[in-house]
Amino acid sequence: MISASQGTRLGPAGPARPTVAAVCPARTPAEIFWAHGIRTIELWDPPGLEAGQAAAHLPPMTCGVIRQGFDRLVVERSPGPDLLLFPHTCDSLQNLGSLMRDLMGEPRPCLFFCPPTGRSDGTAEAFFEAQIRALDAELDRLVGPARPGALERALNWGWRRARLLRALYDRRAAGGWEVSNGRFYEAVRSCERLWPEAAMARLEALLAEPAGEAPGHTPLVFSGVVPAPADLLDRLDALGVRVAEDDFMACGRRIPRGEAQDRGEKQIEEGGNPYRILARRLLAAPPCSTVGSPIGERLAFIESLVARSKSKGVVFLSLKFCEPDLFDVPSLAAGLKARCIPVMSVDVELGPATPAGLVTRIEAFLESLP
Amino acid sequence: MSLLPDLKFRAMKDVVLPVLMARSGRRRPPKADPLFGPPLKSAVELRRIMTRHYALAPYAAGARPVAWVTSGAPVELLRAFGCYTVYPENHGAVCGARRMGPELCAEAEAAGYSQDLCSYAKIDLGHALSGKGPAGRLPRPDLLFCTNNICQTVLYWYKALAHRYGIPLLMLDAPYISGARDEGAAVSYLTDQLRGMVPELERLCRKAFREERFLEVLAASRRASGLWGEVLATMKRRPAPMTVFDAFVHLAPVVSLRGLPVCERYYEGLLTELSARVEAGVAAVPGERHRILWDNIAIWFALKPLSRLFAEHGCVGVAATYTSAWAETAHLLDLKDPFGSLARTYGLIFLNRDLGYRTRLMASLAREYEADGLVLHSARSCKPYSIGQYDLRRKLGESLGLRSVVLEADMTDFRIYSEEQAKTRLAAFFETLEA
Amino acid sequence: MAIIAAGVDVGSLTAKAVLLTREGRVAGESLIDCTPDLKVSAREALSLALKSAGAVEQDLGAVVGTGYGRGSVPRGGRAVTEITCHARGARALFPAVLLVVDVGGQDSKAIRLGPAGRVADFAMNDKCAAGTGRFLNAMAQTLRTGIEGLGPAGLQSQAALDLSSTCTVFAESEVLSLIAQGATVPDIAHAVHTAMAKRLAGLVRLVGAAEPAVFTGGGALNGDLVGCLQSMLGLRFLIPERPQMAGALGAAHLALEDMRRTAG
Repeated sequence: MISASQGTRLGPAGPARPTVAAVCPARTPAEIFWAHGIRTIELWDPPGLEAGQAAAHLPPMTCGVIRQGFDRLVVERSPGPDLLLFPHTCDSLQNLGSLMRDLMGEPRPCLFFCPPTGRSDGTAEAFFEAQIRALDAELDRLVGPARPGALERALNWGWRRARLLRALYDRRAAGGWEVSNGRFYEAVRSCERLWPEAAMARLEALLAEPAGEAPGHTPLVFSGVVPAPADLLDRLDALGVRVAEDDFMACGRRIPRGEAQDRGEKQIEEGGNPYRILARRLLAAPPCSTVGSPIGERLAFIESLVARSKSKGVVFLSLKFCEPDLFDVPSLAAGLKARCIPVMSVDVELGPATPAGLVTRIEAFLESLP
Repeated sequence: MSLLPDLKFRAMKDVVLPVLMARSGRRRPPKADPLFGPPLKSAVELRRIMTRHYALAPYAAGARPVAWVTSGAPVELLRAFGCYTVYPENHGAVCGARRMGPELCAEAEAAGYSQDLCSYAKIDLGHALSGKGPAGRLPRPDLLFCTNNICQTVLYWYKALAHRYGIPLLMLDAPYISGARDEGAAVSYLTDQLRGMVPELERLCRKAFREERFLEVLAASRRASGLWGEVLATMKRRPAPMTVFDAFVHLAPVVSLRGLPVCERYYEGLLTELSARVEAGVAAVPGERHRILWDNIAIWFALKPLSRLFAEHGCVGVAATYTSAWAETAHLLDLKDPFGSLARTYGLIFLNRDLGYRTRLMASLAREYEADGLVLHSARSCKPYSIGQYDLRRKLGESLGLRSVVLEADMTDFRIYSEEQAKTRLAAFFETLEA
Repeated sequence: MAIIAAGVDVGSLTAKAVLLTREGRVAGESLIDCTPDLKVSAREALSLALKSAGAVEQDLGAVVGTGYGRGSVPRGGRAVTEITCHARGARALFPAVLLVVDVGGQDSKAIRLGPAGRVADFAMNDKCAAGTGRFLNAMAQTLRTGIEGLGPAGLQSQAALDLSSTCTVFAESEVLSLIAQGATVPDIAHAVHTAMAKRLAGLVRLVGAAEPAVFTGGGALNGDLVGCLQSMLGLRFLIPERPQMAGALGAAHLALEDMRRTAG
C-alpha cells in the first residue's frame, strides 16, 4: 500500500538532481525506482552509530536491522536519501515506518509497500500488481513520470543482473573457484546500493575470475538475514569455511536458481505487462519467512542448496529478535537433521566483530563433521 | 464426520455439561474485598461458559471440523460451516492467568524456539508438544485459520503448526493500512480472498455453503460485538461500574464465542447487571478518584495485584485499546454486503493501521472516558503493539496533557517481570496524579 | 621420562593441564588461577603439571590447547574447542557416555555424543550469567555460604521455594526479598539450584537427553545442583573425581591421538 507523506514534489530525477531512495528490507521492485532514475540503497546492516537514538524510540526487543536502520535514517540526514520506502516485511518495519512518518514528523516522503504474505495465488498476484502500479504512480507524483521505455529498460537491467547473480551462485556452488567469502559477498551485496549497470560490471568482473580452489575448505550452506557480524565472512575464510550456498534474506533468498528457474522465466516473460511481470518475478523468488512461505518449501529449498553445492552441513545464523526467521528455524533444523544433514543453529547480532563464542561454536561444529 | 464421535459430542454438549455446569454454579462466593465494590455476579456465568467451552473441546475432534483461529480472524465464515473453533490466544491468556506461561514457553524453548519470541505462540507450541495446560489437551486441529491483521507473528506461528500437524492453513492476508488511501485496495483484496475461501472450506468441511446460515452468524456477531461495545461504554460513567481488569476477563466470549447464541446471551446479562449498577451508583472502586486508559494487552499473571494497586490509589482503569478492539469495527458488518463488510470489519482494525490512527483513537478514548492518566504496557512479546509506544506517549502528553507511565512486562511470561519494579513505578505514577 | 601428551585448558578464570603417558595413563596435572596474560597462564599450568609428573618440557610429544585461550598454548599446540575436548574427556572417563553437561565459571553447555563418541550436537549458554558459575558465585555471596557451602546448604532444604527470574540481577533481588520474608538459607539455596537446573535442563533438551550422562566443570561439585538436574530430567549423572579437569583431559587424549598418528 502506497502512502506518501506530505513531502513536496522532488522534481525529476536525473544526473543534475540525483535522487536516492533508502529502501528497507526485504523484497521490493527496485526496477520501478530505476525507471524513474532513482537509485535505491537497501538498509540491511549499515554500521552502527555510537550516538544512536534507537533506545529513545524503540523498545529493546527490536532487531539490529531496525535499530541500525533507524539510526541511519534519523541521525544521518545529509547527504541522506531523498525518499524512504518501508515495505511491509514484518511488524517491526511496519511500525518503524509509521513511527517516523506519523509520530516523529519525518519530512522526507515515506512510501509504504505491502507485498502479499502467506499466499501467492492469482488473487495475491493481482493485488501485488496493483501495489506495484500504485508505487509507480506515487513516484510519478514525486519526481515526474518515467520516460518512455524506461520501465522496460529497467526490467531488462533487473533481468540481466539476476542472471549474473545466478551465474555467480552456480559457479560458487560447483566449487573449484578460489574467491574468498569476503570478496564474493562484497560483489553480490554491491547490488544493494549501486546503480544496476555499475553493479553488473562488478558482478561480471568477479565472474571472470579464474578457477582454482583454496585447499582444504569445508563447503557449508548458511542461512539467516545477512552474513553477520560484519567480519564473519573473513573469519570464515580464516577457519577454512567456504560459504558454498546461502539462504540469506538479503542474498540467496532473492536469487532464483536451478532448472525450474529456466522454465519459470519463460512463463514470467509471457505474462504481458511490466507490472505483472515484476509481480511474478518477485513471487517466483525462493521461499522466505518474510512472505510466509510454508516451512516445507523452505526445507526443500535449503536441501536443494546442500545438494547442489555438495555442502557438509547447514549453519543457521539467527538474528536476535527476527521473528519471521526464528519461528522457522527449529522446524528447518529438525527437518534437515532427519535427513542426516548436520546442522548448527546460533544466535547472532549485527555488529563489527564476531564474538569469541560464535567462533568457538563454528569451530566445534567443524570439528564434529564426519 | 463419523457417527460415534458426533453422538458423544452432542451428549456432552446438550446433556452432560449442562448438568455439571448447573452443579458447579453452587460455588462459594468470593470473599469481599473492601477496596472494591461487590464482584460482578455475571462472573459466575462467565466461568461456566468458558469452562464448558474447554471441557467440550476435546469431544469436538472427529465430530466437527476443528479449527484453530487467530483472535482477529473473521470466524463468521467458519461458523457457517459448523467448525468447532479454538482460540490459542485465549488459551494462552488462560495459561498466563494460571501462571503456566514460563513452563509452557520452556517446552517450546526446549524444542529450539528462541526465548525472545511471542509468549502466546510459545505457550501454544509448548502445549502442542507436551499436552500440558490448565484446560486439558486442546483438540487436534483439522485446519488453521489465520489473519495477520493483528500482527505478522500469527502467520509464522500458524505456519509452524501447519507443518507440525500436516494440515491446511487458510490464510487471510490483511494488508497494512498506512493511510486512508490504502483502504480500497485492501478491502478489495480481502473480499476476493474471503470469497475464494468458500469452495476450500466446502471441501475441507465436506459441507455446502449456506448463505442463510452465514447471514445468521453475521447478524449474531454484529449484535454481540455491539453489546460488548455497550458493556465497555458503561465505564464512561462516574463512578465506573466495572474496571478494565474486569473487561479483560469478560472479553473472552466475544473473542472466542462470537457469532454463537451463548455469546449474545452472556453480554445481554452482563449489560443488564452493569446498567443496574449504574442506576444504583454502585462503583467498582468505591474510592474512585482517577481514571486510567490502558494500552496494550493485559498482564494476565498480575491482574489481581495490579488491580489492587490501582484501587489502593483510587485509580480506576476505564478504557483500554485492547478491549475496544472487538467493538471498534463491528458496526461495519452489513448483511447486504456480507463478504465486503467482513473484509472492512476485519481489515480496518486499529492494529492494522498506522500509529497516527492509533494516536487519534487513544485520544478520543481518553476524552470520551475522561481519563486523566495513561498506563502503557510495553509487552515484550507484542511488537506491533509495543513499538512506537514511547512516542505515542509523548504525543498524547503534548496534545492532551495526559500523564503516563510505561510498564515493562509481558502477557504471560513472568520470567522477565519484576513485580517490585512494576509496583514501585506505578505507585510513583499514581502519586503524580494525586499531586 | 617417556614421551608424553599434554592437554592445556585455558579458561578466563582458571588454567588446567593434564599429562598422559603413551599408554594413556594420567602422569601429572595442574590447576591454577589465570592471569590476564593467557600465554603466561598456559605456560605456568603446563610447567606445574610437568613438575608434578617429574618430567621436563623435552618429554612432551604433542600438546593440544582448549578453552577460551586455546590460541595461546605453548609449543605451537593444536587448538581444539572445549566442546570437543569435554566430550573426549568425558568419554575417556566413562566409555559409553552420550551426554555431557558442563557448568564452568563463565559458561555452561550440553553436549550430545553419537554412539562412536563424536559430537552430534551441542548447546551453549555463554551470554547470560544465569546458568553459569557466576550465578552460583553471586548467590553464594548474597547468602553468605561461600561457594563450597552452597551445595551442602541446598541439600538441607525443607521447603520448595520458587525463584522465577531468569536474570541474575532480578534473581538477586528476589533472593533478598525471600531473606526478608524469613526464608531459610537452605531453602533459598535449593531454589537457586532449581532455577539454574531449569536452564541447564533447557540446554539438555535442545540436544536430546540420554544416558550415560556425565556432569563436568566446577558446577558438578555442587551436589544439590546435580540432584535438581537429575530429578528434572529423570537421569542419573556420573560425576568424575576431578570434574574441572575434563576439558584438559580430553585435550590430552587428542594430543595422544595426534602423537600416535604421526608415529604411523
